Amino acid sequence: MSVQMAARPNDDPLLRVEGLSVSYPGGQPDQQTIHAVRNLSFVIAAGETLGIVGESGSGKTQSALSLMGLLPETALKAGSAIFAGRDLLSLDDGKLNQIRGSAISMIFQDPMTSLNPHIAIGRQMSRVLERHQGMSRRTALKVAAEMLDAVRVPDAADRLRQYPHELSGGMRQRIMIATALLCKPQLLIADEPTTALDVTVQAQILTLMHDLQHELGTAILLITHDMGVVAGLCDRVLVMRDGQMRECGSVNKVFYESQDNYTRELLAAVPRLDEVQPRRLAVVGDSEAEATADIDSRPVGDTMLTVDKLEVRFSAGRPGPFRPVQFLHAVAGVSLELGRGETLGIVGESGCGKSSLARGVLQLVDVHAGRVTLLGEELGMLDKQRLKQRRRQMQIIFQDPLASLDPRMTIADIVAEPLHTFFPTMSRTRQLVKVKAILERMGLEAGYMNRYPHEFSGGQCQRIGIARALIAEPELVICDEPVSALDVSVQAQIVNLLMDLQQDMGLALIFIAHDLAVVRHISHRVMVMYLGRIAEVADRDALYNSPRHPYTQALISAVPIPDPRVERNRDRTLLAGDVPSPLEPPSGCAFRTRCPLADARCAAETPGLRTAGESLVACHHA
Amino acid sequence: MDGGAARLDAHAHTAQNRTMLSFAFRRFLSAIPTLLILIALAFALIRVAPGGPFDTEKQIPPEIEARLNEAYHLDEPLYQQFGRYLTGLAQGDFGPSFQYKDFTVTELIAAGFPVSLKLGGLAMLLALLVGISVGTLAALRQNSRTDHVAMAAAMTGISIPNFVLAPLLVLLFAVTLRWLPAGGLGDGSLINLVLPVISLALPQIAYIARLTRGSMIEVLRSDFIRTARAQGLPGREIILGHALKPAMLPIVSYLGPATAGIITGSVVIEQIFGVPGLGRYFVQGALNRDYTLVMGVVVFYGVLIIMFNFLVDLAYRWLDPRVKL
Ligand code: SF4
Repeated sequence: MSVQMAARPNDDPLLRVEGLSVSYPGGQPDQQTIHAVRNLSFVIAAGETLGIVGESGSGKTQSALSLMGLLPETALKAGSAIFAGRDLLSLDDGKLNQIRGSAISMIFQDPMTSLNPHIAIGRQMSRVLERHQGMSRRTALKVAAEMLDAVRVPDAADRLRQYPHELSGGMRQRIMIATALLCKPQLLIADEPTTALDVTVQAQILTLMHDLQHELGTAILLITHDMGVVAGLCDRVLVMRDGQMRECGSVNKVFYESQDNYTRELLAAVPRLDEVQPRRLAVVGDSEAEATADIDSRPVGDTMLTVDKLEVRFSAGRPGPFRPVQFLHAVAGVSLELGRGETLGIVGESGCGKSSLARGVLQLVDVHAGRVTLLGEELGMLDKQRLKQRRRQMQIIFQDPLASLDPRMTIADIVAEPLHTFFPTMSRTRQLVKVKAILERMGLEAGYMNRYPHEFSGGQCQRIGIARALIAEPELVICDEPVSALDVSVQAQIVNLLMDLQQDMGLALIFIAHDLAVVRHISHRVMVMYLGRIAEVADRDALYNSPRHPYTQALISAVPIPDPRVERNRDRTLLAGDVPSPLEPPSGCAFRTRCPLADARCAAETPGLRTAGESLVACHHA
Repeated sequence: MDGGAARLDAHAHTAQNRTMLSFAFRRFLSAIPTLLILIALAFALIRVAPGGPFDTEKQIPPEIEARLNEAYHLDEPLYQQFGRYLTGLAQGDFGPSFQYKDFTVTELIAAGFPVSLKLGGLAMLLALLVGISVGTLAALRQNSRTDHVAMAAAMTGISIPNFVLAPLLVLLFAVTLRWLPAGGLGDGSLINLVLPVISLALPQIAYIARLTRGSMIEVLRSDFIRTARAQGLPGREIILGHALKPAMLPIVSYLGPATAGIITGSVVIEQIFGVPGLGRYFVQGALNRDYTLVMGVVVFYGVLIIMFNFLVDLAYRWLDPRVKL
């Protein structure tokens, strides 16, 4: 993507929003009114891309929904949004319906739930054209097929007969985009359009949006939390926090000369893929840089965990009288070693088996083949009783902090649970002393002990989850996407906390994430997985600076970098297509269906791991 | 390239047809044990009940009873009777009626079923039409007066049994207002069926309305409805084009139990309104210990319900393409 700053007629903007406010009055007298958006003003010129960024609760999505008249009925709107001489905020549904889907259209985050699973794609698309352009269904379907072609959906005509569940996430989002563009809108509102997608697919979709904008001249209002996406795609940015605008300006101005504290802190809190940050991640609202916990100052001790050719498989569906059980090989022979105090990062897209690997190592799922040895003991050989004892030494932290905490237990009981299990004779008083100490270590007040999980924010819940994992002093902790559900500023705090704890307690960490930048920041070594196998393992810097496997290279080049100048001048290796279904992995090298280097040998022979440069790589041609 | 795509497509279609066929075949196989269990249970229950088919107030001479028992094979051990019955069934023969001496059970079913089918079919149609409309309306006006009234009425409809409801309706519309006939088929015109159909349908209407309301409210909250609104589709089109199909899923699942409910209901209703349908034969048969007739009706309805459930599964698959057969 190159920098695009064409001159645009600025006197009459496409959309002028002034004093937009959205509030939700409390139903009961004792409930307070929630102000989701306060006094927001901005303009969008024809053909430009304005990004609205902010963390959760910043009001960015509420603003967009209010423009489309999609807010719940309880919402109160104020202000004006003038589009083509009409105020969108005061139009009734009937008038709005002439604009929605035709002059302004919108795409949403999750292309699975946003498309109707019960209706064929062609029908969903043709309805829009029949309604807005009075076309017959036949013509509408023809136009729909052409539009699918334009968003690079292969075999467009066949797709029209299919249902959303038959297509991959990336395809579905292309179909969403095609549907939104059917009536050649002047403004496209995109609400987190790539957040639910894998990073290589995100890169395809972003490139597509960029190209389409050039072809069609559609203005885009892009709502996102991802600074990297903004850096690549937007002309101007509007930063929001707590319903208010913090700053608005050209991308370069906001990224390089921001006048706003919050914006600067937010940018600093994002870990970057392209540079090592030998420092704690900056924390929003706390600009004092603390003592560094540089990764390289965390010493790595001797090997404590060995995983040898681990295989985990699940039966997919019941066996029928005429159908054998089908197996999904989630992990197909993975070996690794981990030293005391070391962090191994595991990255890969959905379906790569990273979470199954974690569960296999912890013996939380049936291990089909292979050995896991923790501190000299082979876990698969232990009886139930012994394994239970060993669980004290290995703990897991989950992605969704709230869901993993029992809503009916107090924080003290939740955190003390492992003590009950592993030290049944410990007195209640002693337990509470320990709970209090660890909560304090997590930066939580001791006064929280008698409260319940729902009273806490996502970040606090994750701290509670970490406290529970660490209270019995484990030696190995597996973090399964521990920060993926958190906002950038909270993510930075949790990552810092984990690194500090590791240093204090000498923990060995396996850190699973799909965010390559966070993994780079926290890991000593990084392993890239694809469809249940290792693609590449290497020391962190070797992997990121000189990736050897074509998949690693593509993955790294697909991650947007929150720096407009860097981001717009990168050479991208765009991968075609999506990750194949793990139920039917390709023969030979699993990556060959998307690999730019694939040849006949790749289809015939599964590459083993071998040394190339500083990496271990599974590729014939690396 | 194009040819390849077409081939792929054709391939996909035959594959789909094949899964369809294998599904039908699997369902057929799995229906056999279900049916056998049903027959065995009915057979056992009816023999456990006290009394025999030829018990009347008048004492029959023992030798005649013995002859009768022999003629109808009632002197054989039970397992032989059962075997004989199954063999007959396999040839479509439900056996002779014990009570209506000149008819076979097959003939009785053939006489009664069309009447019952008309009654039950109309009741079902009415239940679906009214139930779905009322439920949808209530969902669209959630928490309004319309909603509250409709749901209160539905709750009442569910709680009043039809043997209470039917006489009340007769009292009101036939006896007091004299709008509609009170019973019998009269000249066979539809007006005679109005009251029986309504009595049969009302509880189902109530239940279907509640089901529809709940599932419609849930569907209307989903993301794809928001997408449809963002596409500028008007409300009517969103309901009919996007929401109705998914909202019908629970209704379709309920069709099985609903049919069973209508069949059992018809037994009572036919009795009350004097409609000469299968339900009446069933009740008469049960009172007279007409083993073969009662068994015949049970087996006939069993097969019907199993077939119907198969159709329901197909409908479900059409409504929700994600369902694998
Ligand atoms: S083995 Fe072949 S297909 Fe696999 S990554 Fe290497 S070049 Fe690509």
